[in-house]
Amino acid sequence: MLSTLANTFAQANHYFNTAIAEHFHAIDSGHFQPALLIIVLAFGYGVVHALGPGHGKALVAGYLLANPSKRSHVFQIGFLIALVHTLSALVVTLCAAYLMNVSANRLFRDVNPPLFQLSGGLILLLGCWLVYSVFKERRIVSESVGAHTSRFGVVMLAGVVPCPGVITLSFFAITLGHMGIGMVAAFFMSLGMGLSISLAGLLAQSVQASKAIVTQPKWFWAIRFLGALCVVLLGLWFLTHPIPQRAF
Amino acid sequence: MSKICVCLLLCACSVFAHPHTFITVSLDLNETDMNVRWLFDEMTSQSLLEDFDADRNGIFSPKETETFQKEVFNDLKQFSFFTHLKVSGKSIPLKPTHLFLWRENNAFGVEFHVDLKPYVHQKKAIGFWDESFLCALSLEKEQIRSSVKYTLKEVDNAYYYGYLLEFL
Repeated sequence: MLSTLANTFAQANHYFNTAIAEHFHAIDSGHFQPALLIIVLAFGYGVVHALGPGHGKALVAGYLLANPSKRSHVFQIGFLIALVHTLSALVVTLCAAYLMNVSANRLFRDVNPPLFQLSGGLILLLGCWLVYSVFKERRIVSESVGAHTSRFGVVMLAGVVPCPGVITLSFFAITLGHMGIGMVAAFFMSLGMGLSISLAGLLAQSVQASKAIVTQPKWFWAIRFLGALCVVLLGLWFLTHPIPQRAF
Repeated sequence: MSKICVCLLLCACSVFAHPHTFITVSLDLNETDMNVRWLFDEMTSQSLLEDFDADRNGIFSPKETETFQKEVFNDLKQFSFFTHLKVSGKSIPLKPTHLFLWRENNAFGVEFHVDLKPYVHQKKAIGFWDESFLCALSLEKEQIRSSVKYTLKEVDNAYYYGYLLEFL
C-alpha cells in the first residue's frame, strides 16, 4: 500500500512535469490558452511536489507544536516558506543562466550541499532555543502563550534551500525563450507548495489545539517539548547527513 | 487522539520523496552482457543538453562524454547507478563501461554496459531504482530485449518504488 502511494506521488509529479513541458512548446503557436494551462498546472505541480519530504514541513510541524500559533499564522508561515523557497530557486536559476552561462542544475549541485548543512546548523540552534524557551515557560498554560516573531526565522531557515522543482521548471522556460511565463509559473508553483506546507502546519496546530492537550497543562507542555525536540533532531540530522552532490 | 493519529499519518506520508527526474529504462540483455539505456524527461534533458552538448550539435564527442562521466556519472556510483546487481543473493558493486550519450528529439539519453561474464550460470537479480527517490525509473517488459528468460516485478520498498529483474 505504501509503495502504491509512492508510485502515485511519482506518477502525479511526472504527469505535471510532462504536461507543463508540452504546453511550453504550444505557446509558440501564439495562443493564450497554453500559457494559462501552464499556470494552472504549475499550481497543481506545486501542491503535489511539496507533499514529498523537504520543503520545511517537518520544521513547521515541530515549530507549531512547540509554539502554539493562530491559524492565520500557520498559513502565513506556509506560504512565506514556499515563496522564499521559490525566490531562492529563481536566484540560482537566473544567476546560472545569465551570469555564469551554465545550467541551473549545475549551479544547484554546487550550492545545495553547503546551503543544506548551513540550514541544518541554524535549525539546530533554533531547536535549542525552542527547548530552552519551552522549558522556561513550563508553567504557562495554553491560553497565555503569545505570538512569536521567531516564525519569520523559521520561514528563512526552511525556505533558504532552493527548490529543485522550481529550478528545473524555470530553467526549462528560459531555455525555450519563455522566461516571463516561467517566472509566473514558478510563482503559482510556490502558491501550490504553500498550500501543502500550510496543511501540514494545520495538522500539527490541530493536535496542539485538541481538547485533550488544551485541558491538560502537563500534556500541553509535553507536546511543546516534543515539538522543540523534533526541531533539534531535524537540525542534527541535516548536519550529520550531508546530501551528496549529484546532478539529478 | 484521532487528530494525533492523523498527524502521525501525515508524518508517515511525508517520507515519500518527490521525484523531479523521470528516467525511462530500456535493456539489452544476455547471459554475459547487459546494456542499460536511460532516457530522461524533457525538463531534465534540457539542463543536461545545455551542460554537456557544448557545441549544440546533438552529438556527443568523446570529450563531451568524458566531461559528463566526470561531473555526473561517476557521482552515481554511491547510488549503484540505479542498477542494483545481486549474484547468489550478494550485492555486487557495479562497474559500468562503454558510456555513450545521445540525443533523441528533446530527450537526453545515456547508455552503459555491464559485464555479466564473471557471473555466468549463477543466480542473478538486477534492481532498478533510486533509493533517494529523487529520480523515478520506469521499466516495462516492452523495453527489454533479452535472450535469457527472466521475470520482472515491481518492487515494494515503502518510500520508493522500482523494478526487479530476475534471471530464470
